[in-house]
Amino acid sequence: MITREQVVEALERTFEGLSEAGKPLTFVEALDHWTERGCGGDCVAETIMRTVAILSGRELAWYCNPMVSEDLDAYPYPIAFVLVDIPTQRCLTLGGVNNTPHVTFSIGTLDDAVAAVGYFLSLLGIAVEEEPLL
Amino acid sequence: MVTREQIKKTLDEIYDAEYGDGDGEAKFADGIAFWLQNGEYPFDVIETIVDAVYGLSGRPRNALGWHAEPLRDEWSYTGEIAFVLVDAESGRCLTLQRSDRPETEACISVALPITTEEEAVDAVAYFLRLLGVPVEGLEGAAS
Repeated sequence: MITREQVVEALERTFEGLSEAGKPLTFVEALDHWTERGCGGDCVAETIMRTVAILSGRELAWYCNPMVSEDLDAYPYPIAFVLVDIPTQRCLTLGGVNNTPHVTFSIGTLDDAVAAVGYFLSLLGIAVEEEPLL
Repeated sequence: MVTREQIKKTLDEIYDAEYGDGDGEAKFADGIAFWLQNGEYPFDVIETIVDAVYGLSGRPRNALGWHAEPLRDEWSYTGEIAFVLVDAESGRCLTLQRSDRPETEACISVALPITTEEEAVDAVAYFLRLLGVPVEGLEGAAS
């Protein structure tokens, strides 16, 4: 069982490794950039997926796509994620009526990011302390 | 064996039926040119390519999982589209590219230039090859 605190710490630590000079210093600040200025969504998304890879210890590949939301009130700050387990080549996010390979989450807050990490870990059979908020 | 000419004809037929009047006037190449000139989301270009792959591979609708994203630089679309293709039956990601070098991460999308109809034909041929459909000129190519 992974705790919420572990996920938050891992997100911050992972972000530190990705962050460049002059860019936001913390993951929470990166989230602010994404929600306030509409930029840096790719870094937020990459941090989430790298955190999943680190916490799971699995060999994973992913694709993330920060999207332009046409209705920010109904669905703010959407990011599409595709997750693949490299050894089996299986797309773990495949689903829905149209068999879409991606899932889309609204990532505007730290809670959203923690929930997304929890969701992806649950796809890998790893439980997280709190229920993911989907 | 699917030929390049068949792919081109299929792209034009689908584009004309879906986005034109079905009278043969609307050309897929015009759709690509319109995208690049006007910078609007190339929904029609992506859907035409996906539909051509379905039509020429004989796979039933929804047998494939697609994610497609036109790539942008700071100002505009670059003319490349990133695709992720999954075989929905097996769940296998067909566009996964693993690297032999440990410092290089695996990639699950392919970015293909779609600035001309010829490049779109190349893209369809590439996806058909991933699905095991023989394409003229690509017979010996490794998948």
